Amino acid sequence: MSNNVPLSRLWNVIAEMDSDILDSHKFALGYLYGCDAILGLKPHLNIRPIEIVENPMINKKPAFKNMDIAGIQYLRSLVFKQAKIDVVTDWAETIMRFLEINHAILKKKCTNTFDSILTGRITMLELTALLMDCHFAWHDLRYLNIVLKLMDQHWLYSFDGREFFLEGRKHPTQINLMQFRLLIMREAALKNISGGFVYA
Amino acid sequence: MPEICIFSPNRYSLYTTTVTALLIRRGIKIQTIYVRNLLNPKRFINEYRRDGSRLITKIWKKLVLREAGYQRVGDIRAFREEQGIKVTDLFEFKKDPGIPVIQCNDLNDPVVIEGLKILQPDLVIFTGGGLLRQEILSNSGHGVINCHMGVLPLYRGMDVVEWPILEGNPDKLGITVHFMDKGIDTGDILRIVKIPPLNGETIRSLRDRIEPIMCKTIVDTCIDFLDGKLTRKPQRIMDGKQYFKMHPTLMGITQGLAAKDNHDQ
Repeated sequence: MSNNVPLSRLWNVIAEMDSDILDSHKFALGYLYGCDAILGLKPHLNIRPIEIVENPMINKKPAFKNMDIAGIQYLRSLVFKQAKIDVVTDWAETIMRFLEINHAILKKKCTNTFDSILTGRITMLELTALLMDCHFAWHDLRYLNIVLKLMDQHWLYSFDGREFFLEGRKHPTQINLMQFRLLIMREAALKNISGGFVYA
Repeated sequence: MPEICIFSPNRYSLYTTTVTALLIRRGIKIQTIYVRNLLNPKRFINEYRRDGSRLITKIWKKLVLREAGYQRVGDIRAFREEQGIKVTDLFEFKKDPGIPVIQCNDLNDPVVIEGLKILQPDLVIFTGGGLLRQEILSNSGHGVINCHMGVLPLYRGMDVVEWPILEGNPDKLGITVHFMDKGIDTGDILRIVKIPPLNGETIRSLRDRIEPIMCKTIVDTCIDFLDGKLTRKPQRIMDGKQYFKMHPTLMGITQGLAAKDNHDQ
């Protein structure tokens, strides 16, 4: 599986979606940290701002086993809004360290932690998106480093551009939208740093 | 006269044999050298999980090629030739000058702990071999000192030659001699040596150049500390970050950046 469809064509699939559908996928498609502009993707998506919905996950001790999708989305919204930075940093740093140490056996860890394979995959995609958001928000290359390692894991990230292009005519799945987000942000991040500067 | 022990990742380590030879010349009494066994499947699995295919390259260079794997001016082979150090196997120190060399599967094994309790060294010098548990750290006299290939507290962890280059901080390249504690590269600092890159230097040649500097610096620092000339400087966790093995894509970008920087100079 690979992305052998130009990004601009895939972007058009998204741009042609109804605004209500776009808004329902705001965690996949919103707050791209300017990645669309970096890659020259047009038009800019008009998605309503993400509202912060408090979640009790952040009151627990930062740990892989304590994560859930809603809690991760809450952390992502805090990163977007640059709020409660200490709490978010604590979670992000702890999870990054866990993933760096365990990424070789991550699939097994997910199987043992989450209720189903699907839940595990969606949770991990949200988590990967959080780490990518942290990279862009804080200009910290260590987060990009772990995201690249996670995107190497085919059980987690297996984006197929042709499948997405065809699916998009109807309604792309949440998993594919999350993967598409990661693809765009990865390409933008690598474009940024390959020139020898970091977010000048 | 102060007495020390040495920890080594394997019996053929050029770094360890060089450090040991230098210490002996400086009149330091080495009580025992503890060496990790090479042929340990569990060790191989753990290190492969951590390092991936880079482990194979590392084994090839350090254990198969050994001195033949170094071909550059200023690298450890050149340094050893200059110093007249010929020993390539720690077991040679058993015969001359009669230092006990004890093999173990892990440096945290009971044989090491019990040995340290009996020997009561003033200091232990760590030249590689994995994480150490508190029981080892607590039975090592003043402690266990290590030479980290990065500037602390800024760059803790792994690939700390590459990360400063990728982050646009070549002025933050260097080495740090520090005490080991339960954290990763968070122990008290004894000495920092900045090592700016030279014109035309690649990451590979930079790493090779740093190695003999590490040998000399850890020996000098050990002696200076035991002579009371150095004080320990605690680190604050918040003053640095922990770095991990660099993804191959970022590694490729870093190598390109290093080449570009050298071209531009």
